Amino acid sequence: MVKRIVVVDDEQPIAELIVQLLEFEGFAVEHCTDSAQAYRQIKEFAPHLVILDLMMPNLDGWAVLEQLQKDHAMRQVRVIICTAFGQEAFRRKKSLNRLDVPVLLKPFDIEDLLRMVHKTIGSP
Amino acid sequence: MGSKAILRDAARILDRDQRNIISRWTQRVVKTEAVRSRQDLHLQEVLGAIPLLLTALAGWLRKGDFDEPLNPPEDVRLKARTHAEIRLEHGFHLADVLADFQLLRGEIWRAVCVELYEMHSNPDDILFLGQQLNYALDGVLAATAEACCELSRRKGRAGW
Repeated sequence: MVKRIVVVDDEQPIAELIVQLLEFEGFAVEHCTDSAQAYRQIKEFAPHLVILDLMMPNLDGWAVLEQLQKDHAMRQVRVIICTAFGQEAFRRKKSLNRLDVPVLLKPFDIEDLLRMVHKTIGSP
Repeated sequence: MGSKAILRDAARILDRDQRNIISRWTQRVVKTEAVRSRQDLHLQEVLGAIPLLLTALAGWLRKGDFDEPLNPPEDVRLKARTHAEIRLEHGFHLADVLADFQLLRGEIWRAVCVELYEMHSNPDDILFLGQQLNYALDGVLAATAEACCELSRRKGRAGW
């Protein structure tokens, strides 16, 4: 069965860009630009991986991550944080005790994104 | 004087890394005020003719036809103009189009410089490439500005 990924990014073109790259790799991908809807969509799609932007209106990526952490059924979902604010990301994930969550810095190289995805959930 | 071999090497890198250059350019351009304020735009609309322009630039480098670097060949000018037209159709301004090309300049240089520094130890070669690339992109900017002004006059727009 093809592995599923949800991309949560309020910037539509970036979400589409990541979706295209990952679909080309063979993953099944959905994207969500409204972080307030992200948790519901993640629950419905039941992905293996969520690629999560941090700086979003309504609900930031940390809040989405906390929602996932609180839901027992969602704890197995792997997360990659994607952000332009690296230092802040490292500080917050330490405070949330989520040092296991990899951080991809924007602007990222395609190879770095794919390497991180493969390392996190393996091949499609 | 640097060799034209470095121009061909740069063209090869641009062809090979085109997807990555465009990806990085997109990630940068969505952070500009002009694009950020346009939540309605999809990826293809943001990209405009940048992928075609990059291909045309690589072709120009490959030919090594840089006798008049400030006067880009017709296909390069056409792709730059097409991108400008797409942007103007979406309500952007000339300054936004020029910012697009400045970001592209940065990503092109980032893509080629590290690898070419390793391949070409002669600093004259690197200088030659830097000059030719910058002249070429300046030529693109000038041609685009000209085209935008012409379009503006034709459409009776004001405010540029």
